[in-house]
Amino acid sequence: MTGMTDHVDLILDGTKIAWHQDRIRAWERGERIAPITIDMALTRACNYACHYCYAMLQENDRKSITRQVIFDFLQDCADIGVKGISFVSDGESTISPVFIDSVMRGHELGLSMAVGTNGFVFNRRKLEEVLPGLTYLRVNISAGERQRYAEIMGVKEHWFDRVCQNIRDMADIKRKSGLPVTIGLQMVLMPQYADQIMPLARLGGELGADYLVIKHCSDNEDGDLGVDYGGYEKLYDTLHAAEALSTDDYKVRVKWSKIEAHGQRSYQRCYGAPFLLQISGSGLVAPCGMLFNERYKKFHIGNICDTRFAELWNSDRYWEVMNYLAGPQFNAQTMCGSLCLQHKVNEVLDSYLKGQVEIPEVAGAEPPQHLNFV
Amino acid sequence: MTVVAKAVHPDLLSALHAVAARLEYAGPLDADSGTHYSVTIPEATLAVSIGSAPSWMVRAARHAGTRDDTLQRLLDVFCRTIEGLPLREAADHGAIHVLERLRQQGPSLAIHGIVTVRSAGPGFVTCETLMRGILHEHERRSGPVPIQNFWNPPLSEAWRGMDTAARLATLKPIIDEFRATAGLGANDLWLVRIERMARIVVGFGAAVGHDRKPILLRKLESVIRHKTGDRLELYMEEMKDDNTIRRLQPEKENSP
Repeated sequence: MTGMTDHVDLILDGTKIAWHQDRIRAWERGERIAPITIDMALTRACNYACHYCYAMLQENDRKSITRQVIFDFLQDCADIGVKGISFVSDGESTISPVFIDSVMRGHELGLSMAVGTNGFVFNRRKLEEVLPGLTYLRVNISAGERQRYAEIMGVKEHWFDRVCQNIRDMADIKRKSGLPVTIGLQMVLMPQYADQIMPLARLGGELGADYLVIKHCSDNEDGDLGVDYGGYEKLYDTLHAAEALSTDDYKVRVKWSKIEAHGQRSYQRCYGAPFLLQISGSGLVAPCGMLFNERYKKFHIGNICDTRFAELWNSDRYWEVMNYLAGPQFNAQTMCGSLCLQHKVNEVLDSYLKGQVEIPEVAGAEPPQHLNFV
Repeated sequence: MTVVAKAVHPDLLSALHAVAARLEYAGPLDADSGTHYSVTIPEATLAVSIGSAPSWMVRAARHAGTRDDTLQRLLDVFCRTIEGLPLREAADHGAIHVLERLRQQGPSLAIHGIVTVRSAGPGFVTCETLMRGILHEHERRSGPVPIQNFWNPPLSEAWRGMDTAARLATLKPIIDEFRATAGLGANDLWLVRIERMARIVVGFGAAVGHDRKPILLRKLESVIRHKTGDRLELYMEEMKDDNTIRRLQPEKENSP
């Protein structure tokens, strides 16, 4: 199961890499390909303290992403052929003073823009300003009840009310303005949050979100977050019940492929990073968020606060790191955390290079939504 | 017989000639207690002796049927490389291991992006095709080999047999020599500790710039692997989360 054809409309548990065959062929020929998607943050800071937060493990040498830095970066992305930028990564980008300007600048340059956020600092005015520039806005909300929200996400209970109101406003603005933006919710599920699956699945529909995706929690190679991957299996019935709450207008989806993987990878080489690059809220360019921490310095390529991204991308050091990950000196099963952002792309490309699958021909097929977020 | 033009990327030719100065794996397999398989495609023939379950280890490998000098040498290195590997690993990554072996000879490869067996020359694909043919033939006769591949090169008996002090003592002269070669002083780069037998943690002094560290780390790791023969991994100290709100959580302070 490669996850390439799980859903033909909105792919929430799979990869859209098959729709980017030109880039796969160029990669195979040994050309320097621009990432299809870059996942990044505008800051390492966050106003929340979620218990499952992987960003705790991603600390590195912090620098400040200023308006000039991000504008230069977005211009470089547009110039070299990056297609989508998601502000998710390892910080709460909405608290950056350059957040809205960055989204709108990227949008003006023809880049698809997206954001993952806790949704707290928005208000109606800000949402009206930023939603027209976004392909999707996804709110991280891992509980459907006030008290549990406060416990799991490390904030005051009344913050839950504000976030819920913001989600209602997002849906309202989208509907009234006829915007194509997708409003999503994401639950990062640790087995101990099982009691919140159904309340959140119901809440998402009430708030007017387009979807709720329920995903596993990633952990590092030493299991520092203590994710009990064996504990997910007991939740399958509840997860199926949550999915059954889907309607024509509201989808509840579980990332089954990752939850059922029990934290294991089927592959040893990482081929996905050149297609789906990550940048820390510190400006650090590293192939993958799991390698942001200073501990993994050998994989660090440079910093967009010091060097233009186009220069970094076209440098030997960028491709040395990418080649290290793609070669036998690296083993993603033992040298990486579990189930990274590039996981599905890695699965497909690894199976393809092993001759186990062909990249399906999709010419003429209706492309899925959010195509530029691979 | 098909003559294969440009079986490997021209930049790899000198490395190939150095690694396979003479052919040592051409010809038929010797008799042994393994199960023998042979696959022939227009370019060449590969014969392999396979051991028993569960690893189905490649006990011996030989090639024949090609007069193309480059492909012969490449197949020779391929046979040498896959001996001792589990069948699944040989089929999945045998050609990658060969490519890595050639690249370790130091050639600068004019491939600007990712180096895969497909961009490194059709000879590598021939090796893959032959070995995957062997795997299919084995599966046809003996049933499926699990597709999951968790093989990792094992640490040597010598490294595993050492205590921590002996491992540190082994690494010290390697790091001293590296420091000297890189123009670094004793306060610029030092060994901190060894974690979980294979993870080496090093530290840098303030005089070593951020930009330089990743390159030094990759080079030092490569040197250590070459000198010890073990796939040891190089890291720096973990940096703790600097986010004030997250740091205020007491349970996070106690996490390992």
